[in-house]
Amino acid sequence: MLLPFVVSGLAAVGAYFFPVAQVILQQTGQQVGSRAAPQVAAGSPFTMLLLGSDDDAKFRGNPLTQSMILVRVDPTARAVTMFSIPRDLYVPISGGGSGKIDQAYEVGGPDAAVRTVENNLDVRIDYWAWIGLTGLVKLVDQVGGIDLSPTNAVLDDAYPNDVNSQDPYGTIRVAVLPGPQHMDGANVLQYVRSRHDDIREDFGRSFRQQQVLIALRTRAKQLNAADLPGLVDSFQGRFKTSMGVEQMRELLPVANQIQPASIKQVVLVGNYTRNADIGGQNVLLPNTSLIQATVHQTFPAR
Amino acid sequence: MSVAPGRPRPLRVLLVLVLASAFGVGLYAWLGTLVNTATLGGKITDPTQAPALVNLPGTVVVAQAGNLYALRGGRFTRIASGGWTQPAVTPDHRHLVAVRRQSNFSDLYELGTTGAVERQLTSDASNQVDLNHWSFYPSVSPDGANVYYSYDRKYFTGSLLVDLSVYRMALDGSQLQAQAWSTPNQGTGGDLQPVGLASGGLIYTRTEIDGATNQVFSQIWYQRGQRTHGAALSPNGERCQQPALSPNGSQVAMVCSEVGSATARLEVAPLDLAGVTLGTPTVLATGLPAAPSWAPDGKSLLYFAPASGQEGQTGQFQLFTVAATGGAPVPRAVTAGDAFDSTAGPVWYP
Repeated sequence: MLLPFVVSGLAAVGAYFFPVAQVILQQTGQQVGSRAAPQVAAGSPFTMLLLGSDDDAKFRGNPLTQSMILVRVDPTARAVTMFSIPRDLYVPISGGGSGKIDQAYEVGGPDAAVRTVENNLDVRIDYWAWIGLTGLVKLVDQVGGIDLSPTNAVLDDAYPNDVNSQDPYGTIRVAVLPGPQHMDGANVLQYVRSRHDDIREDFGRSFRQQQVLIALRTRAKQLNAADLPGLVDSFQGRFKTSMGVEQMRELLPVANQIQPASIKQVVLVGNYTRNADIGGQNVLLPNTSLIQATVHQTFPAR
Repeated sequence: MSVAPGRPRPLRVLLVLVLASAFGVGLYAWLGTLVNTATLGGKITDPTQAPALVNLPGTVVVAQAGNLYALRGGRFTRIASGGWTQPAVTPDHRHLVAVRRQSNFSDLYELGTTGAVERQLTSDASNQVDLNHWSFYPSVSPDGANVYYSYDRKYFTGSLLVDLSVYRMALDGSQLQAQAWSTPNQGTGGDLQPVGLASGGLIYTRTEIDGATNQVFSQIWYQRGQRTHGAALSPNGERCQQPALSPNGSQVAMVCSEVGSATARLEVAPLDLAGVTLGTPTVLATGLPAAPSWAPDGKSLLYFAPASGQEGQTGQFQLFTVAATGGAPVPRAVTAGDAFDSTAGPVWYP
């Protein structure tokens, strides 16, 4: 007599969480090339490379990664370090040649991006995750927006109008005003992507990207398992990670326990780089030993 | 056709199947109700749909989703729709000056207190994207003759640098007669939130970026006159923004935060213009308070903060009130369920 109810109940739960399972199968646990999956023991510190791309209509194949952030998570110490890698850093790219580090993903996908960062920063990366522009917008909207406090007015007279636009090469003007405010996905995207007016150029953008990650983490603390289908639906095709679902499940409680004061933000400012022009491109030449010394303060070498 | 003894009857089987199916559908729907994202996104209501939780004296004008609302007698009324933000009121309380923001530009308008547009004050639109302008943060001088605001003048044709400078124009004049009052630090976003003083001077938020650390600092800045250098009122090495001058001009409310902190404080400090300094501040609220505004009698303040207003809370910004003096501050929520524009300070007049 109970069997039909059990079957029906399981079917209902299965149908509800089907999108989660689908995304888990398609978008998590992705491996980097032929390299063996990393063995990170439960509760052990690990390093993740976060990649963010302008995957708009201008791009075919793998896009550039406008944002590359190394994240070290220490579940026991409940501490997180975020290290922004300047996208204009001119380095040898895994797969051949030299170029800006943001080209690595375009050249060879996550495999090349991970190996390029590992080789140039002398760091071991355990996992990577990639998110596209519209994925970020939908993620922020799906969690109901995030609270941010821009430190200054972010103004851009040549912001790319390439999301849901007839002319992806067109531009619009952007003005994100400072002070505490609640932002939806579209505003957050403008905030993290804009760079033309900021005298700090890409470094200013790195600060803003890290600020958004912290705000997203604060918001994520208020979610539960029933939110997963809606969340992963927003990720369809716009999110990929090498992290398996089991590791993600273990990570969720840790995320709740990390206090904002335990999140360290690192942006390479000062003598770490110098400006140069290579082949008509403005690039940043790295002071490799200085960068690696800073990286090794938090991130283990290969 | 007879049913063998001990076997369930077809009708009974059908009933169980229907009930089991209903159980499954119900369970699916119930799982949907556990979703927090719907709550987090907030069921945003039009402020007119619910009375205020606190009955404030006088009139308060706020902005939400491009609309201006007037709160009188505990009820909100929508007074203007379509791109409106950052209202200010004239000293005689007979007119508003507000920003109407469009996709690539924004303009200042003078409106009646009922929301009727009386006059467009600036003309910032252009067919060429980068030749548009922004006008933000209007504030009418105490004598009612001028309006101060932040405006992005162009450095040179083709420059990608855009910074806001404080401008002043006659309220009965035009943009052509407007004059720059401040010179912003380049590439910082510029000078914001001007407030005219009875002395003829000005306070505003000045932004600076430290070249060595790339950190952003902002200070409440005092300028005696047009294009004078001025001086910092708030401490160096902090971020203080959104100054609001008390009705008698003796105190400044502002939102301050430490560099690297994700939270802020609503502070009130005595203003000493002769000594060009602010006294020891009193903290009235913490968390993410925004856009303070003084009560007409100077005894309390309005400000915006997310959700419950408690530190660590996130969500749409609601209106709060707190006494400016007298013991430990106890903020009270004025609204719930709204989604106010916290970059547009509330206006409160008798």
